[in-house]
Amino acid sequence: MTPVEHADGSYDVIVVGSSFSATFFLHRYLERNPGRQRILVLEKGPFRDSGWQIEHQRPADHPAHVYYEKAGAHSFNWVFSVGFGGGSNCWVGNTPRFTPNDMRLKSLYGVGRDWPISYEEIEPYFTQTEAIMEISGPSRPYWPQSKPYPLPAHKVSDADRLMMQASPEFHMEAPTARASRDTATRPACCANGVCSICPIGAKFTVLNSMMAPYEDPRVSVMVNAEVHSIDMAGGQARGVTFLHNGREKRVQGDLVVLAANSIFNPVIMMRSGLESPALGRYLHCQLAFTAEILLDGVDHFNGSSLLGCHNFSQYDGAFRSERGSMVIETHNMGRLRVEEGRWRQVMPVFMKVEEIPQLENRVVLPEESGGKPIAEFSGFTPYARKTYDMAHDLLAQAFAPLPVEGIEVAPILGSSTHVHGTTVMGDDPTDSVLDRDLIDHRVRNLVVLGAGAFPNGAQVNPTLMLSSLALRTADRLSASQV
Amino acid sequence: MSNKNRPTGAAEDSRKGTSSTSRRAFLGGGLFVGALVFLGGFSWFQRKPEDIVISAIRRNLPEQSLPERDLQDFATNFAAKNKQMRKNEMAVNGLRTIGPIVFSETFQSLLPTHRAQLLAKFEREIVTSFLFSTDFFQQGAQGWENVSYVGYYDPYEHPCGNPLAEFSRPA
Repeated sequence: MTPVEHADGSYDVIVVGSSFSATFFLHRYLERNPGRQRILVLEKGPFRDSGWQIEHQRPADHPAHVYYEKAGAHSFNWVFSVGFGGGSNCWVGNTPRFTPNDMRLKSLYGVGRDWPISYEEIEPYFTQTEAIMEISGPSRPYWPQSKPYPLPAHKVSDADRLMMQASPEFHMEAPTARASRDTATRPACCANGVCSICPIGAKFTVLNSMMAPYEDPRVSVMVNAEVHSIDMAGGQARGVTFLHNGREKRVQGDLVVLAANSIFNPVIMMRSGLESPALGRYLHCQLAFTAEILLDGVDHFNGSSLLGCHNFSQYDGAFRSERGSMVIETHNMGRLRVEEGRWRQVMPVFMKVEEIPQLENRVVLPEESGGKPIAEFSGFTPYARKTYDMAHDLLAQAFAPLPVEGIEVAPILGSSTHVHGTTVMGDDPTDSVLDRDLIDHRVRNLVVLGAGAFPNGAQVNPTLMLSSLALRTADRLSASQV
Repeated sequence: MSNKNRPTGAAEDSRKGTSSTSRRAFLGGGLFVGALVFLGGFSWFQRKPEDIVISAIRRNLPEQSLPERDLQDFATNFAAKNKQMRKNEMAVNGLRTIGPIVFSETFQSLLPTHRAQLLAKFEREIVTSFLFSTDFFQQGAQGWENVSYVGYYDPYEHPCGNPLAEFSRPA
C-alpha cells in the first residue's frame, strides 16, 4: 500500500480511520459492492510498519494522552493508538464474545440499557470475525456459538488444567487472536508475553493480515490526514474537511464513515454542528484490576501463550441488578515467587468489571478552536466498585478448586485500555446517537463505527464486538436494508 | 570518691576538666558521626541502580554462584531496559538513594501495605527476569550447580525464549 498525497473531487465513500472498525467495514463493503467505487481513507496518524514498532517498542509516535485533556473528579487514562492500523497495532488480542444476557441488561436485571440488536443478530458476524482473525479458541465456549473456532485453543498451565477439570462450565481456554499454530500470514505464538507489540507477528493486526482492503485499486489511503469536521448541507453529509501536513483540504463524499475512536468521533460530529442529547455522553470503560493467587503445591506459567483461561464463575446472575459482572483472565506471564522451589506456585489474574454508563461522563469540545478534546470522567459508580470491594471473596470462590494459600488484590488500574460510549446506539433518538445499524438517527448517510456505539459497559474486551458490528453495518448498507 | 570529700580546688579542676573533655568529645563525636552520615548518604546517592539489582538477586538467590561479570551484565541490562520501558513506575531511580535498605524486611514492615507489596513485587520482578536470563529452569530448577547465564531475557532481541512455556498438549 502506498499512501496518496493528494485527494480531491468526489468519492463514493470517505472512511475516517484505519483501525479494526474501518478495516472490517471496508473488507465487507468492497466484497458487497464489486462495481466501480471511489473510496478514500483518511488516517490521522502516520504509517509505521511492524519493523518500526518493534525497533521503537511502541505502536505509535505519541502516547494517547497527547491527544486529549482530562477533566472531572477522576483522573483516568483513555488508551488508544493513533496511526495506520490503529488499535490493532497494540491490542493484546483477546476476543471473548459478549453473551446474550450482556445485551439484555435492562430487561433481565433492571439496570443500564438493552442493546437494540440481539445476540442472535450479531452471532453470525462473531463467527465471521473469528474466521477472519483466525481465532484460537476453546472447543466448549461459555457462549452459544454456531461454528467452532478456526484454530485450536492454546495449551494451558497445570493450574488452569486443574481448574478446567473441576469447573468445566466456568473455566475454559481463552479465545485469542494469537495463533496457536502457523497460519498463512502469522507464525504460532511462542509465549513471549509482550503482546502489545508481538515480536514475531503471531497476533492478528491490520498490518500483518488485513491489508487487502487498502491495496484494492478502488481505495486511496491518505495518512497524516486529520479530519476536522463533516461538511453538512440539507441535513446530509456532503464530505469532510481535514488537515493534511498542516494544510486544510476538503473532499466530497456520498457516504461518510467515522471510524476514528470514541474520543475523536463525537468531537468531529460536534464540530460539524450535529446535535443529540446523547452525543459525547456515556463515556465509559471497565473497572480493571489485577491480583495474584498464591498456590500451595500446584505450578503455573507453563501455558503456550500469555493469556491462559477465562473464568466466568462471577460473570452472570441475579447479582447484576446490584453490582457489576466480573470476568477473570489467568495469565502465563508475571512475577515468580522467590521462595526456594516454589517459583511457579502463583497465578497472576486480571479482572474486568462491568460498569453502568453515566450521562455526566462525556467528551466535550474545547473552548478554543484547535484545542484538544476533553474527556470528563467522574469515576466508577458503586455498581462497579461493589464488585471490586468483594474481589478477595469472589476470587476465593472462583479458585476454590485449587489449593490456594493467599490472594493479593491490587488497586484499581488507572485504565482498562478500552474506550466505550459517546455515540451510543439505540432505538430512541432522544437517548441515543445511532440507530441499530450504526447510522446517525438524523444524518442518514453518516455511519459511526467503533465501541462508542456500545450501550453497556460490558466486562469483556470490545474488539470482537466492534469488528463484528462493522461487518454487519457494511452488509446492511450494501443490501439496502437501512 | 565523692566530690564532697575532694579538695575544693581539685574538685573544681576536675569538674572543669570533665566538662571540657565532654565538650570536645561531643564535638568530635558529632563531627565524626556527621561525616559518616554525609559519606554514607553520599555513597547512597552514588550507588548505581545496577548495585541494587545485584543486591536483590544475592538476597533472594543465595545459592546462585554465577560469575560476577554475568550478574553485572544482567544488572546493567535490567536497569537500562526498565528505565526505558517503565518510566512512570521505574523504581530503580527512586531506589538509588536508599537502595541498600529498601529491600530489607525491617524497612518493608514499616511501609504501608500497598507500598511494601509494590517493593516486594519489584524485587520479585528482578528475580524473575534473572531466572529467565539463565538456564535454571531448563536444568530442572533443582540447584545452581550446572546453571549458566544465557543472556539478558529480552523477547524483542531473542524471541521465543520463554523457559516456562510448553506447547504440546496432554493426550
